[in-house]
Amino acid sequence: MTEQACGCPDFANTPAGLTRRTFLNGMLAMGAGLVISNTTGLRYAIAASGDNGADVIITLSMRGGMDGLMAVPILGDKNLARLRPTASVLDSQALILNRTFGLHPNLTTFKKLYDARELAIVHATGTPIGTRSHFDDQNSLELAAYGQPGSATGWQNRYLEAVGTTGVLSGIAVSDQTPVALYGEASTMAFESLDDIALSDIETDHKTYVDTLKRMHARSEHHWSQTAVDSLTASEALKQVKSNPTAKYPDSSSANRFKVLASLLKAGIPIKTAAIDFDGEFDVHSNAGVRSGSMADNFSDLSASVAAFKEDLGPIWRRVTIVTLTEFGRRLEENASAGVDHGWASAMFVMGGGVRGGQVVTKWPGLSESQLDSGDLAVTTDYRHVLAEILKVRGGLSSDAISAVLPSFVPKRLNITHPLHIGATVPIKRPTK
Amino acid sequence: MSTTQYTLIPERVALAKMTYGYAASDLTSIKSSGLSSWVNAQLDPNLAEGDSCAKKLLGFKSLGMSVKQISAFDPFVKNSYSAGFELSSITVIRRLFSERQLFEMLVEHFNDYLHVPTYVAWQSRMPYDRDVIRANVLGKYPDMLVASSLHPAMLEYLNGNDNTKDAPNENYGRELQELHTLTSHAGYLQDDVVNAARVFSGISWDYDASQLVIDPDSHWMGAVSVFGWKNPNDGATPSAIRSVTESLVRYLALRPQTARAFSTRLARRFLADDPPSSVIDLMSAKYLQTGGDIPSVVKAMVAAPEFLLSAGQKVKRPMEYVGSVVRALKVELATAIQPGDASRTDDYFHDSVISSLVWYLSTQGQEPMNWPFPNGFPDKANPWTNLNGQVRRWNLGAALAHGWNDQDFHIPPYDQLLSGVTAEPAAVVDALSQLFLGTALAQADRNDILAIVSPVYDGSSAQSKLTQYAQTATSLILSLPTWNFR
Repeated sequence: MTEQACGCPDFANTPAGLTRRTFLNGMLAMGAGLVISNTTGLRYAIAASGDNGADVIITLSMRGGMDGLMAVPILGDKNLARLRPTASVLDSQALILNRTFGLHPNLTTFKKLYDARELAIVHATGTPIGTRSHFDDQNSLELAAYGQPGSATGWQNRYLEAVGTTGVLSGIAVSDQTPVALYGEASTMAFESLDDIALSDIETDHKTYVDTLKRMHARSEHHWSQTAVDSLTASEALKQVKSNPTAKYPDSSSANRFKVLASLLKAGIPIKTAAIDFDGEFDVHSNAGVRSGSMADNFSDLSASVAAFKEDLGPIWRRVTIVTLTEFGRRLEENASAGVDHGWASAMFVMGGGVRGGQVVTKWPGLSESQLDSGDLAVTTDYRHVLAEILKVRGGLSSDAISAVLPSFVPKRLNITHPLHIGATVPIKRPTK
Repeated sequence: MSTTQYTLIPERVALAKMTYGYAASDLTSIKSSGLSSWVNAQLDPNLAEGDSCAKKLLGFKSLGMSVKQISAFDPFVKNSYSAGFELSSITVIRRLFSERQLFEMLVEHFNDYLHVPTYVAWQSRMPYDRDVIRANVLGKYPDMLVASSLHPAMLEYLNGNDNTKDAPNENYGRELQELHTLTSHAGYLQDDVVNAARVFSGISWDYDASQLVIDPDSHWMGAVSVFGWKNPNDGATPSAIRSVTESLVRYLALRPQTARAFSTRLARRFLADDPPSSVIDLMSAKYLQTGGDIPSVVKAMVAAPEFLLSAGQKVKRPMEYVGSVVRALKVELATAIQPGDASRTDDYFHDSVISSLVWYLSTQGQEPMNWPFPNGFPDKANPWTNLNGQVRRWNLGAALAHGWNDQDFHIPPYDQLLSGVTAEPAAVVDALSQLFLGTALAQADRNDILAIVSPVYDGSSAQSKLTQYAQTATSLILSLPTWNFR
């Protein structure tokens, strides 16, 4: 069975994968309890809010191109009514936000949050370059490194680096796959369910098995192996997290993702930033179903999911900021199949206890033909202004740190957040050990 | 930090890249034939799937059905999910058990390239796999693209059915250029997208009659131009309209930008996430020279020196991990596959063995053909490198190694797999390392594995000493980083 080896390169060191600055000895010395860190001496003990009292920053991605005018219609606009005979909300049915804007009637939770001043809307916002390509725009939106060709790290990962966190559960995607926004040097974890992510035992005691797998992976510098070491640490830590919803979630995969995230936060897992993909059909090239159908259903699910998440979180809600993202909005004019093709600007929702809500922030570009960009709502507010303010005010980053997270970008304050009061609101939950 | 050294022989490098997995017999075969003859044999249209695979496929009724027949098949009409599930099941069986391994890998690749999820078009997704992908994978890419452009599955997925002259639906017109041919780097414009949509306007699938309809009245008439291609587009007959679409598709398929995009994506599948440009150059040239002949480009890729030098540069996706374990251990299904039961319309296809395989892939985010976006499953390591995939993978490896799910899978006895090996820990571990990796374990890995394996046998189990050592050792070897790359 012995075979002659060739001069082929070694399996473990040829891959040009990412390596990560990790402190393996620290990881291997991990104990039980809520101390989920790979560096000895650095301990997280504060529930939900993480080590510096900053918010948990949650992205809710609506992949496929979520149209802002379907979610947040401008009221009494002749162009909208004329060009979207079916794929629009009727003024008479919109939930009224102010004299100018309404909300889709199914976004009832958003209306309540808006009225409670915990939800702000930024409209006519989007990426600085609109290619109208799902894949290019999702990718560049998540990298958020415009003008930096070859950049391969996502903005949420750079946020973790800027915070200097080393916890293996600081960055979470409630997903089967790691999203681009989490790519990079800082450790992040992706899992869609709390079930079946514990290591099953083989013929040795559990700790020996875990430590052995860690050692076998620690010998390789490939990103796969380094992630594996952290996956083991995280998997052990997650054993104590039970799904214990105290709110009734809708029966949808998006709601289940919120449910998982709520369980993690309630268990005191020190998450700094989390990514959830909203599982809806937003790429409505035909039969958009704004009044009833696809989009109406998306908004019902979204509204009910957020309502349940807020109720489930209880007081922790005050320490989260949720921001919605999409790669683009849609063309102003609907097509012959009652759908709408790819466009550019959309709307973003920002919600949470620290949000300066009850306002629609926009430099409204208008919907007349000359005001459109190739037939689409124009972007007048770069989405990075929204991220920058959240990261700075609710994430506690300095201006220098912001420029590391969002390079080649000069942010301006939109005034959609309240200043962070460190340690003011959430009772500290001590680890059991 | 030291790095573990594993060096594979070229035959193993080639098999790891071009099959879902391989056993000792495959190694013997590639060694005796040589690399290029092995590839030629794998790409021979007359190569059979093999008895083991063929037997497992017997129960699947939709394999030979037309769109019309599927549309009228009662169990699928009552529960359209069954149609997609049947295709997922067929696909997993072929990937695991067909002898046409390279062919199956290419079929997967082109299903990702011209992606349509199974849940989108239950009536036509099986015929799409058979008549568009499989029928052309050993032929020319432009032919495959032409077939896909007018197929009911693609017409449904990218909104061709809704595309009319009054307001062309741009979905297909855009993805045809962005995903199927040029890619966005080529610099086509919004006008090109609109014009491509106009070319395909008025073409739809009539679900009642189960036939393609080309309606001159809903077709946008008049001169069109797309990325340098021009056509008067003034023939008001179905055949004239059809030939305009074909002219556009063939034009786009044969652009140098398409040759490059095609080659990059293919090389990414087999060599590395970021394949060397020298290989892409060579493959692109072959593509243009042969009019997009898929086997010729594959052969050019394999013949390039970079091919064997790219050992271990790809993280196995979930399907490849499952395949590599199943094929190396010669795992068999524990029971014969149950054919669909037409009397159970709400649960037509209920075979538990296949359900568990499809379910396993689905929990790792790779249920065959069910990626939710038009770009196909990700083919770089990053998205797959995460807790969810890793822990589930280690657990599945341990389960298969131990035969824990023996109601579904049958593992040949280790006494047979390791015949002649002494029932001592070191001998078993070393033999398994040779079986899986073809080389000795790195000293540190060997020490770690032996430390767990050595105390395993306590005399209390009915299983043989060798079996007990082998189960534990196999679990650990399957979780080594090296085993998770190809």
